[in-house]
Amino acid sequence: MAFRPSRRAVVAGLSSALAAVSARGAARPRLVIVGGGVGGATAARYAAIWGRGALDVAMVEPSETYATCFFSNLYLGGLRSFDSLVHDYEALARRPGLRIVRGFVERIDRERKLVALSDGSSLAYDRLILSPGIDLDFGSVPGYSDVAAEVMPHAWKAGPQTKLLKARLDAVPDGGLIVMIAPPNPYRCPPGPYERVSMMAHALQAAGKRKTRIVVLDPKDKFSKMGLFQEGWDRRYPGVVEWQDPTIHGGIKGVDAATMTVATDFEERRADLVNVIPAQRAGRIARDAGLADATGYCPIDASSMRSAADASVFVIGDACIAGDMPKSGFAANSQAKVAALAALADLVGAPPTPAYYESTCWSLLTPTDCVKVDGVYEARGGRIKEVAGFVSDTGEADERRRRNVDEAQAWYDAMIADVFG
Amino acid sequence: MPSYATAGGEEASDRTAALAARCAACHGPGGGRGAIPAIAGLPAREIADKLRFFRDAGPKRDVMTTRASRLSDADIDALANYFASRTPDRPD
Repeated sequence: MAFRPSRRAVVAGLSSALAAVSARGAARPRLVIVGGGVGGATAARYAAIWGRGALDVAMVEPSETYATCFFSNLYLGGLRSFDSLVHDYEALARRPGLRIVRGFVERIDRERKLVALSDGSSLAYDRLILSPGIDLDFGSVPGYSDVAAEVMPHAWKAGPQTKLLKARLDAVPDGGLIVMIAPPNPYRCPPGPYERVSMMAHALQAAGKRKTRIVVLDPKDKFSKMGLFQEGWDRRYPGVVEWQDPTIHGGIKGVDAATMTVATDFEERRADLVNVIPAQRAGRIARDAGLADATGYCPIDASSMRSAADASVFVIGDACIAGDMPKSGFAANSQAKVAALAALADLVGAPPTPAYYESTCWSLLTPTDCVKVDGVYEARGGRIKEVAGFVSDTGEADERRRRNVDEAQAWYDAMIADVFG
Repeated sequence: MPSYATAGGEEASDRTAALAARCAACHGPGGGRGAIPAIAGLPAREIADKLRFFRDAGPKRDVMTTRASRLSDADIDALANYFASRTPDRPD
């Protein structure tokens, strides 16, 4: 029997609306969440807490564990173990009203409100929250592919690729050349490639490889926290990092994994390590469901994270078009709470609650020098707009930068507890 | 949704839950540790005073200053009461 919100509950707040739903007994509303990354796990956790057992919440995720992309650069820099990035779903699975379904989503049937899994089973939903993350567009760099990625890692999804990049980095000889191909906008974690450059430079320095160089080939003419990173590279790793915009390299022509070469309009170079971070788009599940537009990402309603294409579906995290918000784990966590509350309000017939969004991204230049970018966002004029925020200043005191490192470490632990706890 | 007293009744409590969830992103569900201080279980007055300080006179380039900048007095009092009623082992 399909769930219908009662008219009586519409005037009440969420708490009494939930009580009314529970009292009715039958036909508990069904919320399905696809994806167990930061967005999906946060949505599942908060839906379970706020739903107080009045709903059936199911989160579908194929993997037993999740490795965070954020802080994976610190693993590359030798500051953290890989294991410290990996988290499981055991605490979430113990939450009353929340079921973790291990499965691979084959397709979403929006007409029948079904999520079809690859084992032939399916899950019916009244509301669906999609948090599929990004897919890499290997074709955006000629010569690059999933096979080439085994030689020239992207490491833009944390896991085996991250370990491969670390192993390759550690094997680069002194005097060797590292080339990073940076991604075009919009992409996951705007400061991420440049923090990665910093952490690779740190790893080289710590290993005494003073003659190794890192060349960044960027399709963009500017990037997140650009002044801060360039100041940091000049000060901390003088002569190590060379960043090239399109006016310098003339265009990225492609890569050849067999010869470890990278071709630009200007030259062809053989490198000891090539890190290709290709263009990105919303995860396949959301695109196949017809929720993405021509940009490859999914438009949403700024006040609820509801898909512009389907009122029963919410799209959160890196897959959505979130206005001024970056594609960050922090942003996904924030959007997940908005979507969970909006979905719950739908399901029990409660009025909507204002949407609050925020994101802070900490980037390490060295183990003791960290810069940050911060924003608070609200729905304004149909889009998510920054209403307050800041970026670290160039020339800040060492002590302040050191405090940022401590803050970042404390944030990581808190965020993990808020997502997976 | 946890139960707690707010001046605005249920509408306010939904709003407070949404606001409190923002805090958890850095302070953690049970209150932070290390460089980000714990807030669960602090006296309501202390929490409210700190939030008003950040909103009205917070340092530049500080996460708390931007977070507090959008809070009303009613939001601050509701958050203070909410976190004063929490404990680290009973964060939800």
